[in-house]
Amino acid sequence: MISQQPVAALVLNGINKAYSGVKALTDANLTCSSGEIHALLGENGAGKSTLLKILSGAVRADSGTVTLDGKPLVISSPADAIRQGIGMVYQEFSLIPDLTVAQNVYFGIEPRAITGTIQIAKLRRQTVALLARVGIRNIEPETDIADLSLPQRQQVEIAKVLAHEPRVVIFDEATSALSREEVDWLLALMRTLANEGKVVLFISHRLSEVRQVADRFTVFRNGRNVGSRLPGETNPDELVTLMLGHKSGRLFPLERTHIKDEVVLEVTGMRLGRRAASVDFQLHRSEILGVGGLAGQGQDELFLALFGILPVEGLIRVNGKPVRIRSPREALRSGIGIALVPEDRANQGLILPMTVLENISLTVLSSLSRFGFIDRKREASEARTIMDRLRVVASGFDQPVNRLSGGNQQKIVLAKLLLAKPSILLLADCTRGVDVGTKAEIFDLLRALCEQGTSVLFYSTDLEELVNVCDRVLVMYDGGVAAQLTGNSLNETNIVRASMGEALVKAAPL
Amino acid sequence: MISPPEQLPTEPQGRPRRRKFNLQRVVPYALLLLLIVALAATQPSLIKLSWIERKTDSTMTLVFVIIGQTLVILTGGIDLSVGGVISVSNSLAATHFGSGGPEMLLWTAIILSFGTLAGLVNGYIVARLRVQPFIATLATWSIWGGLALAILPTDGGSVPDSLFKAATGNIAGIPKSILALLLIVILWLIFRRTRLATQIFAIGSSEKAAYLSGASVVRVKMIVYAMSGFFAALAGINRTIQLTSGSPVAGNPFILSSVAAVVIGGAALSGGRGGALGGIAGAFILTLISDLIFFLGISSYYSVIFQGLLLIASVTLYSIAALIQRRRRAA
Amino acid sequence: MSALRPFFLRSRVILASYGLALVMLVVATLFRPSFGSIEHLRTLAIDASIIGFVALGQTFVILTGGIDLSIPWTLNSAAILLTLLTGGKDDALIWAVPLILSMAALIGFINGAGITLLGISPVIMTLGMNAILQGALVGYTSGGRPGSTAPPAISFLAQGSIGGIPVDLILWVVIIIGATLILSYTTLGRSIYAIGNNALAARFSGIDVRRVRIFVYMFSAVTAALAGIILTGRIGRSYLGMGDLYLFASVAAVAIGGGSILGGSGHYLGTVAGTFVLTLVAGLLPIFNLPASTQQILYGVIVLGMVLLARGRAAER
Repeated sequence: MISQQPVAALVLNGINKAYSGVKALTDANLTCSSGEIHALLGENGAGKSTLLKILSGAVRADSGTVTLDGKPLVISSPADAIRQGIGMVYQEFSLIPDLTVAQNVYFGIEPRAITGTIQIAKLRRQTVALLARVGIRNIEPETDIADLSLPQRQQVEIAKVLAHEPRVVIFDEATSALSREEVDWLLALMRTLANEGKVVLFISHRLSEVRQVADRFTVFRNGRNVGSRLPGETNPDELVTLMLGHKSGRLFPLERTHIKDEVVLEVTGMRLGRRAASVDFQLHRSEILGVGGLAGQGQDELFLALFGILPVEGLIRVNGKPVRIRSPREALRSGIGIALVPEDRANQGLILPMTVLENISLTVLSSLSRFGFIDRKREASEARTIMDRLRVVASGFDQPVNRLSGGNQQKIVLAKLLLAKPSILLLADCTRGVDVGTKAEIFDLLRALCEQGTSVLFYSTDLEELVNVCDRVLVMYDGGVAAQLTGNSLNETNIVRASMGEALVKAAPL
Repeated sequence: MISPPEQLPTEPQGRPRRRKFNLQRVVPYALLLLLIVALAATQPSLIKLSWIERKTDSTMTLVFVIIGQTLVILTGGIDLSVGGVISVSNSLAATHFGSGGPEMLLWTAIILSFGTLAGLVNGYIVARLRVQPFIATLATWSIWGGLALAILPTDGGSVPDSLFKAATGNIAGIPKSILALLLIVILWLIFRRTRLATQIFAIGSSEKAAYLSGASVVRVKMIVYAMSGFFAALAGINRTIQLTSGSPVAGNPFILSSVAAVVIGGAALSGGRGGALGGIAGAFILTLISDLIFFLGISSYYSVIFQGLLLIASVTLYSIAALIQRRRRAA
Repeated sequence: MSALRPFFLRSRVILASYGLALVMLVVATLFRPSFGSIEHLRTLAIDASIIGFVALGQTFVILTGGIDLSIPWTLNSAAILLTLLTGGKDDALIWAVPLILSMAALIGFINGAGITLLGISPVIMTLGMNAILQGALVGYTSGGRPGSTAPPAISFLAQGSIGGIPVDLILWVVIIIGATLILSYTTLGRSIYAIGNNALAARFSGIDVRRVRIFVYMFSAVTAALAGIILTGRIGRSYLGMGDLYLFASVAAVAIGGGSILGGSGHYLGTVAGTFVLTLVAGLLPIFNLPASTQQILYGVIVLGMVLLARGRAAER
């Protein structure tokens, strides 16, 4: 797979980058060869994303050099990077919503006639050809981006990068939105690109993928390159130690809570979107109920509906009483007591320019105030209590939350919602972008909350989490519950099969 | 060779754009047609070529402003300084065109250069210094407005006959203003197909995505503001022909009416959607509404109400159309 | 001042604006000593206060990320209604003023409802409302001058004094204190800043975004009406077009005071500084024999300068 004497094609040296005094990268370096699939590993905040953003031009380094095929590169904008042969497949996509697939794929390099106008027919043909070359056959070039599903957008994003015939192709967490089949397709594509002599760089948190396809990987920790290895010569524990700097502790809680019989939440006949199926389930006190399935099967809508953001048909009963939840304000009220930790932390969960204190107290402002005036002492003491409990690392209340790490930011969101004392906690993909240490703390917290009588609805795309954290898992498929797994039937294989709409494996010995 | 995945995703496939009927784009033209029909109903003898020529003449200034304003709004910005640029242009023309001839040509060049320069200043402040377009162009409007006052403290000045002659009359039997309008329409249709136009739409649609995709955001923004300034200056010269004099506040009515026309024409204030043709339709709609009010016997003092109502109604219509489209997508 | 700090993302700009105002005052007084006399300062303060009333509502609206372009004709409507309903006498005031303020609240409510319930952009909604009010008023009065004298009580409100201090300024000081308390110390204030910074996250945190938004537009219309009433008392009469200059003034005052046009940062204390700056620039011109055109140019330059200053500070964070 890799040549015996790898030719160093892409070299990054001495890269430094600081954000407001906090160093994201310190003398970082990286060496990749032609025809090599190189994986970047490390915890969140270790600097991998920043390094790639510097390569792609989205961010400018404070110092350091980038050399490609011996030539030094000057990258001061994404346009520069693209022009010099670096293609980046962004995690959050760089597709332009109001343009079509063809317009996005060949953005900036559309075929032109002598008059300077874009040749529409030729653009279409080129797009079809490129999509086919990459193995995508079911997308029409004239489709609006808004009409595409998440995996399809991922595919268009990739085609768009390849349209520029880059020398280096970078994938930043490209597999998180894809199903197994699509992931296989992507990994196969990476191999083809590498075989064409390109440098393929990718970040993934799924070690199985890394082991499957990477020729070499480099680990980053605290902004530095701490080691480069071949996948064959490292075992998983060694890998984790390298990433964390110490041996990892246990990730998942050991004990299960005793689930009470009381049904705190019951959903009947809820139709999500315009799907035919409907959702029915019950949530018991002190239970952690997982929600799984492929992305886009209705999980987002379910959570938004329970929190009053989305209006849906169907019956919701809290503690046996039928309720209508018309807004998050109503959901949070003590009569209902539902709180949602939203999926999109930056846009839905936090008000980034505001301080830690201001963010935490948002949900309980009215209870902290008399005649409209906020009782600052109470505000501070309640915030301090919850921050201690969650072990939030922040230099003070006045720190703007946009300076905190992903894990700490997530804790702030949790703190804010826990202050409202919910009896039902909804968590939508809460471990995304969160480091291993914080994840473990969150799982322990969930168990502790359940001990005290809170019930949790836990949506995750990570199979391991679903199996190890939840008491029971609902696998959603096309707006309905395809399977309810618990005990012996709760395993990764079954979740995957149910996600695809297939029959389950009978309770097999694990 | 990469083989496609054996099992396709269960999500719906992308549908070809051709099959979908984009309701929103038709609205301004339908509205315009409706108005013309209504006018014809109230005054059957009204609609003839000379009437069309008169309407085009009187709306031409606004049309010029709209071209520039549309481009700026498409990038997600707004240009409030057009009022100031028009006022300066008008004041300069009224005081320096003299008796026509080479003096007039020279000053025309100066005026157009000023407009472009003023636009570049806006573009620099918005794109390079990253100041919000609303407040940036509000400030520059004030500056250019003050400049206009300095050039021409009170209404007055004079305009040479040759200018008037140059702008009116026919070429090959077709009135010049209608020809100009047709030329603008054709030029727009060509421009819309260029890479620059795609970049403009992209930046308005999602500046971040456009930047990451390699668009030179700063350069494109400076270009659109420069163009807006240029067209505002052109509008100012045209206004001089209409008024046959100068006024230091000549441009002020055009600020909000240009924004209104662009919005009525279907452009989203947030950018990424719309076009100059819709804006031009919007300009005519605004003019014709006043006429309709007059012919219906309502005091023309009230006509502003209907423009306001029309503005709000058309925007509501567009949101409803967008909502319907979104519902259809979810299916 | 630590209580103000969390919201005062632009405190340095606010200080700069007050500093600029002070500098202008000092310079003007040096060239013409009578400029700094108590009587003249009083006059300037009253001029500033009217902008201050209008800009109060605009501050709140802009803080939530919106804008109110219907201020000119809301102001004008209140003024015309006042003179029309009272006929220049005090008797009708007792019901006329509440009626006018209620109508203003209704105008603001319609603005807010259009923006929050129909999703119309604030620029468009308030622009349209302004046009509607203009047409209604101009049409109703047929463009002419209606019975337009200000009732004596209102004139007293605008020009009179109690114990040597102008009533108008007493009112303004009360309003400044009230606005500061609301913005810095109440849940309403916190909600306003939250919505201006990230309305979606505010909603996800249980804040009733719609209600707050509708409130600020109602508030803005009422303050515009108040300004119209006082302005009528100030000049003794009402006429068509008296509100037109106040749109620019209200937005400029907010911007000079460090308020971001995007919302989420700024404070009324900054807007007050902005009103001082605007008023002093106008007052300076006759001293240096500068024409009216310079005033407009200076306004634009100062607004730009302050906005860039605020931007510079923000980029530091």
